[in-house]
Amino acid sequence: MIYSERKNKNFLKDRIVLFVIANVLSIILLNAQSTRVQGIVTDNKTSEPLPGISIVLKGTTQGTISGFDGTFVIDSEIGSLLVFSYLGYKTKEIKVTSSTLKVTMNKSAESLDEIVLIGYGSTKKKDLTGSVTRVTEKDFQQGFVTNAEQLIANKIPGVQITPISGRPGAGSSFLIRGGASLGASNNPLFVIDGNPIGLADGPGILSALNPEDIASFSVLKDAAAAAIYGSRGSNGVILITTKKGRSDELKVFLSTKTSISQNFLTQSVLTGDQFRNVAQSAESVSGTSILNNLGAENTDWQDEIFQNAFTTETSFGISGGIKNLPYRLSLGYLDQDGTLKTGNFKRTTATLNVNPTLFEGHLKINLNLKGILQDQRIANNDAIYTATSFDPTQPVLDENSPFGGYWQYTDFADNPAVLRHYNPVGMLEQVQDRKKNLRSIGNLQLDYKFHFLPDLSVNLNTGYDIAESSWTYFAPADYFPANISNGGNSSGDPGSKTENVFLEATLNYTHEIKSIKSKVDALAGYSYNDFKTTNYFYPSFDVDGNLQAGSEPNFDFDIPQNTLISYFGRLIYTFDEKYILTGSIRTDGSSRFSENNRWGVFPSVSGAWKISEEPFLENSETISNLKLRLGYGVTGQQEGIGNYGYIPIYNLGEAYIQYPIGNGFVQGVYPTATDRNRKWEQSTTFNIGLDWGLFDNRISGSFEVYLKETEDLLNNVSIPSGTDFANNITKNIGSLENRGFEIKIDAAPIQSKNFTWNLGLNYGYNENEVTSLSEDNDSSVGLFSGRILVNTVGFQRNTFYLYKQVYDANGNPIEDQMADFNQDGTINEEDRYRSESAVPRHNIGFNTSFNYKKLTLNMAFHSNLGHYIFFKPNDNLASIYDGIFRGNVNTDYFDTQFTQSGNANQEFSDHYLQNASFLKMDNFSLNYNLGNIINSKNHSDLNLSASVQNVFILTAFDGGDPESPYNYGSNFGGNYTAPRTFSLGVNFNF
Amino acid sequence: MKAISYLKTCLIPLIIIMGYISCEDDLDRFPTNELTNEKQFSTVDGYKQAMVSAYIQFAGANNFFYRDFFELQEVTTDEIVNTWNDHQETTLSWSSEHDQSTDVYQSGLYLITLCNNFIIESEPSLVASRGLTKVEQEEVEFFKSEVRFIRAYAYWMMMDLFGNPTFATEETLKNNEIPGQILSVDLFKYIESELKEIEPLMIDARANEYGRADKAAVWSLLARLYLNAETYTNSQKYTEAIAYSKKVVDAGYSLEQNHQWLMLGDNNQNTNEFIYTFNYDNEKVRTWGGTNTYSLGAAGVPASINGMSSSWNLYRVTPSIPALFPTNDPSIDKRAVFWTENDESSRTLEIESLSNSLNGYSITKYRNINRDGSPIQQENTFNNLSDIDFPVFRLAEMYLIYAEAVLRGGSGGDLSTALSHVNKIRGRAYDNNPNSAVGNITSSELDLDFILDERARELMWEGFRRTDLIRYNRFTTSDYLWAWKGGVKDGTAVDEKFRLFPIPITDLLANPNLKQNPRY
Repeated sequence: MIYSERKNKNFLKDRIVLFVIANVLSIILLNAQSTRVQGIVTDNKTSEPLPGISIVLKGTTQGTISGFDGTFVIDSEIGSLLVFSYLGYKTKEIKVTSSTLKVTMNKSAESLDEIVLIGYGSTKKKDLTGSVTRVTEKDFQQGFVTNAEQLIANKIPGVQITPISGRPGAGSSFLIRGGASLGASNNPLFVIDGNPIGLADGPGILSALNPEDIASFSVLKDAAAAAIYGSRGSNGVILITTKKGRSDELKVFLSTKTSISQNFLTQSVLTGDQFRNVAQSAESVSGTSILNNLGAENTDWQDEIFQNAFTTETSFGISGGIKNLPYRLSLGYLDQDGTLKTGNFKRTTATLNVNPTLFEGHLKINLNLKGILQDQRIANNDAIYTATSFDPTQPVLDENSPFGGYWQYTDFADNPAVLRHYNPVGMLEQVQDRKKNLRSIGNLQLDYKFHFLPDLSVNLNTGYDIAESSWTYFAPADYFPANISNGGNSSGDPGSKTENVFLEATLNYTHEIKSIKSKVDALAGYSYNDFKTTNYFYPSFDVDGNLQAGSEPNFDFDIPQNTLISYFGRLIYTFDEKYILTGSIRTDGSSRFSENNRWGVFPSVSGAWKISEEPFLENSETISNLKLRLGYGVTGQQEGIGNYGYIPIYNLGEAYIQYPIGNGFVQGVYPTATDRNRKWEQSTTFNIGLDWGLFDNRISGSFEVYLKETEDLLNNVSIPSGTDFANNITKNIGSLENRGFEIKIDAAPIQSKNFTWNLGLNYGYNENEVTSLSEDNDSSVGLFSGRILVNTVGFQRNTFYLYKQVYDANGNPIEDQMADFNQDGTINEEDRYRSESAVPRHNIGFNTSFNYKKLTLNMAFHSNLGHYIFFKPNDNLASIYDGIFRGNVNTDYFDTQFTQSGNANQEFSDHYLQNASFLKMDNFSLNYNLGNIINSKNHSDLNLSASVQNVFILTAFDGGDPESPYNYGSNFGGNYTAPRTFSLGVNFNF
Repeated sequence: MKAISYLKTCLIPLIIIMGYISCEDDLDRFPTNELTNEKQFSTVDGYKQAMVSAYIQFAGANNFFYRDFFELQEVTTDEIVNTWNDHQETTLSWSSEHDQSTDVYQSGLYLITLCNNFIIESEPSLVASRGLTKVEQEEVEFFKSEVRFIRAYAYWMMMDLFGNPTFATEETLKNNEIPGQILSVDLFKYIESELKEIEPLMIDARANEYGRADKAAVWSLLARLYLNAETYTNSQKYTEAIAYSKKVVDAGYSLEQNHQWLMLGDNNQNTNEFIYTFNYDNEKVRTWGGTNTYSLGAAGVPASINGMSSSWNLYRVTPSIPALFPTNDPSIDKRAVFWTENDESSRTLEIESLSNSLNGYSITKYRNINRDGSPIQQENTFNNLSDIDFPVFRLAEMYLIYAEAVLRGGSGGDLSTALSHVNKIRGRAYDNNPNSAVGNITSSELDLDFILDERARELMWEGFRRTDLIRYNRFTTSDYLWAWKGGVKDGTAVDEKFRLFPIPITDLLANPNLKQNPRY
């Protein structure tokens, strides 16, 4: 009741305001001879008023947009036709019969009228010419999602989203279509409500957002779509919109979720008993005494460092309108424990969106403000690897230990830095490493449609991304590694400050020429982006506040900064609503290149043919949608290469090295390696896409084939010693080709009153090939990434380059025996061969939902095939005897029986290369919608949900999570893997 | 009216846009704390700082360059077995993929590149154009010569280890060329000509600041180079070795009184004997690539003796080394500073296991204490940094070069001087007095075998052994065997290829101009 009263009051006020405005405008603008038609548009089912409906007088360019309360005023004539259209609704034509109109609109079954964001604008899904995938709220991953990217993980073909760590707040890595780069960044560009986030931060922004605030993702995959972002579009663009308020309805939502997470993947290492047993062999192999140094325990260190971790999240939001000022305000609070003990992440978010429309729709204002406070205690990741290698015969706690009661290798008490192997539980519990980050992201968009030329509009968009971080570190004096430095107590406030700003201005011109069935959309724009961070440096102190020797920094701060300036234009030409041609061009100037190489030009052309609208298909019962898309475009890359790499400069050496010369001390200064000729990495993409829908789009999908050629690849490569001041430098080294195709199928096999069944399948295939290397040489091995991955012309990027292991009759590897491939009698690097690539070829995502009355069951799976990992655990007795501590070994030792240290070739054996193809069940969730529990009509609903994430992994890989990140193709089993999470949630909207 | 407002609404954004166009200057960004070469080299102090940077790299004061070189020279021989590595060096069985020699190769060429850069920046006309005074310009000339000396020394190391390394010069750097490979015989000539060219340009012997090279350092390197000329070029240069070692001897150096003072924390006093040193300071130089490694590395030596923290249990000697001395303790030859731990009878002379740090004696030559036995306070948070300076050249080596070159038939010297030089070393070793007759040998005892053994006694753990054994053709052959040579306990001959280390794979792959050393 309260609600409707308010509505009526607003309605009246709106009417008055609108009336005044409309009158004024009509006097100024419109032909006085026409009839003024007033009306209201509502949804035919819910009877809710619909704002934002486009109303056009058919055959003209005259039109308006319905107000926040669904009302509109338009000047027309009796008998003329008005066309009503809106995203998600079927377009309706109404004949004007009187000066008041009541129009109801039906939701369209199909999603083709959905508005999809493209760069610097939007279009209807059916009018897209590039490869753009949109995922909205209804398709988001169900269950408890703490990081926004998990909403769309495995939902989009060709987009791999992989958690980089199980650490709370850690975020995920993104790889679109195999990635365009070798050594430069493979992160896509994120644009949040029109605010392009610095790529350096990249996916990190997503862990700063409250997933509850997000309305949709648009992923621009091909260059035809992304080229409008020029140098920032090489790895695709992800456009994110947050939810907006509508002034016609007051909505409140409240949700609370709680979950418990468990680490479910551990390395299989020896127990204390097994270790004592195996140590006897180590003793006899090495001739050293080991057994009398062992303890009597059976400690499972991996069990000791992990915990059941609780997470709670509460979000509250309110949206509506204050005097026609639509707003949405939401607050979120997340408190997440890590499965690795002591780790914790707290996130408080506040989001405000205000989007008024003034002057009868001529001026749209959109203000987005986000504030995020992240407060975390960081648990030392190194504890995980240490736990897999720490002596299992020793206890966690030792009452005689002077080091906080933790058992340690006390023989090294006076030089623990040599040992670098400490009780992993102590590493977690004794150290307090905290970081706070306060961040604000905001932008203001003004979209003004000229009164005298409504076809022309100007859009100004300006915003910022500012952040300030601080940190504290405390280790007590009895923390073993810090015992000789009297502990550590340091802090940095501020630790860093980020001040990124941007301004974009675009002019848009839209014109329809009915006589020649043509429509033109033209855009011209300018963009300025500046990324600036100030990093502050501090000395360290011991627990008594004494300065630690040699810790004074050279400088108090450093300000890395880079700037990007762009000009761009786009023209979309539509003929007969069936043939669409888009062309765009952008030029970017980047401060990361010298004046000669500073500007890059990035063009694109694409076209679409809506075959299903041709007469021969128009009335087809079977084919409801068929569209062919062709695209070509060039994008660039300048991320991941440092800000000043082209400038020869001198850096001050470490402050803790003051070399004694004569009677004084001199600090060093070193020139940096410089590639003065560094230039843009450029990708050219060809894309063919086919969108289709059958049976009124009950089954729909798309098929895409692409070819992406990246030239002047930026990569960090080994350079010949003696050529510069480093062994490695980032330079343009060659070209790479990515080829692949993607299939997406969505189907609703059952749609009955009480029961629906939906499923979605996506599949992406990608293969790549290094097509040229600028400094290729006779050996033709190519360029190494690390020590086991090589990039060779004619092969996949990052191909494993290994020896062929020799096995005995029982199929066990013979220690350090490799096949003599070239049969020259010696085993040397010439006997290594190219094996599989470290880049998986097949990515499959599958999700399905069953809905019975108020109960919904969702399941999501994904799978990578052709996925290879080089996993080398400690499988050698040498871990026990050859080293200053007695390291645990993996149970693989029982197969290998390796005993020798210093096996020169074993490290590069293909024995360690595993097919890590997998199937994961990512999510299983049950939702029960109690619906309207308070007795007002239609406006509240209560949702209960229960879900499990990371339900299972099917894989032959024995090194843990096959998607854990690894360096240069190697994995040693020390990863913080994403946990299995059980959650419960309550969602309440009214 | 219409047109004007239209213009207005159009103009405002246009003006804003124009305003930003001027921001194209923002594309010239420069780092906050770093300098261009023009700034760095605008003062004589800037030049000096850049020169000292080369000395820092050379001394391993922030890298493992010299430590790795030291280990390649020692762990491959009878002087050191290393507990905690993979024993490829000890067993002379490394493959073409060899981390430690790769590190020396790359850091050596880094040092050379740093020197090449300094040489470009100290081109006299360039220095003059930067507004330095005449006096300052002359000082920069000295700096330049010293940097050329460092480069020559680094190339000598590269030649000794790799034979035919990458050859990068100021010319290849200036022209942005990928450097080629140089053959040992040509590199020898290059080093020789460089040293001869800078000899007159260096500061006089014993006249430079402590820690900087002078004329005597140039002579010393020439002497060492000529002594080993046959290894590098197949032709003998013993006459030249005599000439240059003599120049050093005649420059006024003398042996310190006590051999045990040589490698102590206050050994910067040893300027009578030390010709050129790497300098360390436990407060000012944080490195694990300096003398602290040799001190902490010695297996079993407790903190009370090494003056730092407890031993890293890295290095032990094979039984061949104690066998060179009359006893296992300094009672007769004071250089026999073996750490035997006999009290616990846990340490053995024999090496049954390379991984057992209790197998094999170690030595207490490097100690971070003062001559008078007083401790040196650790002014750092690690308790294991060193004040022991490392003599790159010292007089005793020059005496031994002179003697050996005379015995090998070089002219310009004589046997009696050779004997007198050797006996100074013996007198000090046996009686803490170079002029003492105790421990002296007769001319009939002075032969090449004696010299090799005496070098082992005098210069033990100073980074010479591999080069010496190669010169005597005993490194890979069966003429001389020691424990674990070739991977067997009694020792065995190995492939001659191990006289050189392999060119690193990374460089072979990155530089098309390089060829691998034979049989790798």
